[in-house]
Amino acid sequence: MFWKRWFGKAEPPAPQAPAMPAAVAALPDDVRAEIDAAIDQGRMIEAIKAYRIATSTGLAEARAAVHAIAAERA
Amino acid sequence: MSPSTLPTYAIAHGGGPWPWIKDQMGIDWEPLETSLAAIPHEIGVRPTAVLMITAHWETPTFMLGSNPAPGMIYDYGGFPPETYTIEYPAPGDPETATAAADLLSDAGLAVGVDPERGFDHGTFVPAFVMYPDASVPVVQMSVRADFDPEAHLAAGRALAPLRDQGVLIVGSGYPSYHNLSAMGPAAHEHSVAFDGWLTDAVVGRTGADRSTRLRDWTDAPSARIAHRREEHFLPLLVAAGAAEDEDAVAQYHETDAMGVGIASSSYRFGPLPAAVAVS
Repeated sequence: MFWKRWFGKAEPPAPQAPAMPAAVAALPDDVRAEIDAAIDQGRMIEAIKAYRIATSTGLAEARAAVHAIAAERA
Repeated sequence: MSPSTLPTYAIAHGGGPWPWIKDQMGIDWEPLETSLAAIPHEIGVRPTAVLMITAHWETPTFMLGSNPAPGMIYDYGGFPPETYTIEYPAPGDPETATAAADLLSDAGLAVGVDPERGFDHGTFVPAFVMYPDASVPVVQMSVRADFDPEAHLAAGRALAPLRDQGVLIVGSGYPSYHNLSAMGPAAHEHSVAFDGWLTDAVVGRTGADRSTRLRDWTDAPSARIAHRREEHFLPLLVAAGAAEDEDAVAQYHETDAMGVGIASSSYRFGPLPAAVAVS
């Protein structure tokens, strides 16, 4: 049966550290501090919102950027 | 993808209050029970909350249950009397409900919060099997009564940041087949056809390729026999949308579900948290 090949398939690879978007370097210091603090406190949604407001980016892009910042700080 | 981001699940939740009466039903629930009970072990961490998109709550706009101490809704019929006194005393999580509502609203989706709603069986049945001690807060989310597939994918995309904050998103329905008026022997062929299409659409595809196929699910073989109404299919779209660019795996599959030869599958979207994936 076709599905057996999927059950036998290896797990997806573990996530890799995402690339840091160029816009992160251009964040104002106070915004970066706000995002860092939110990440450190596990408030990822607030970090993503702060990034979106500061950069006028979409959700997916902001989320990827915050993931990259979080990976850098881990 | 953050190493601690949780995957999402689209699960079959079984029939009625089966975990409490499985010895009386003449149905082998073991494969489904094993798959649901495996989820906490797969993710390897205790979620801050479970966000359960339940097939048994249809509303004009998306709704989040914000009741801090949800009661019980016995939304089934014909089962033994003791199944109408079941308690699943998991707390709600108004903060997560509000956060989810805010994310949906930010995405331009109309949303409301219901502070009274209790747990229906699309929620308390799988939650009980996953977390029998009721220790993890559970937040319910409705499916939208217009059954718009793109809206449910969009809702999932909007809710994705919850995964970064330890929320386990679970779409609870019957992804492969839910047609209570066509459960006889002929259902096997149709359920196999739709389940096969669904697994092909979900596993090994990501992004727009997967989402477009799921959005156009009515083009699939036996689609309208598998889901005469799609309330049990739509929770999968939310789970898929919340991990749109990530690989999926079939987490459960059997070809004799419900004891009537139904093909049925559940899926996990996204990788396991890194600490678990490398162990």
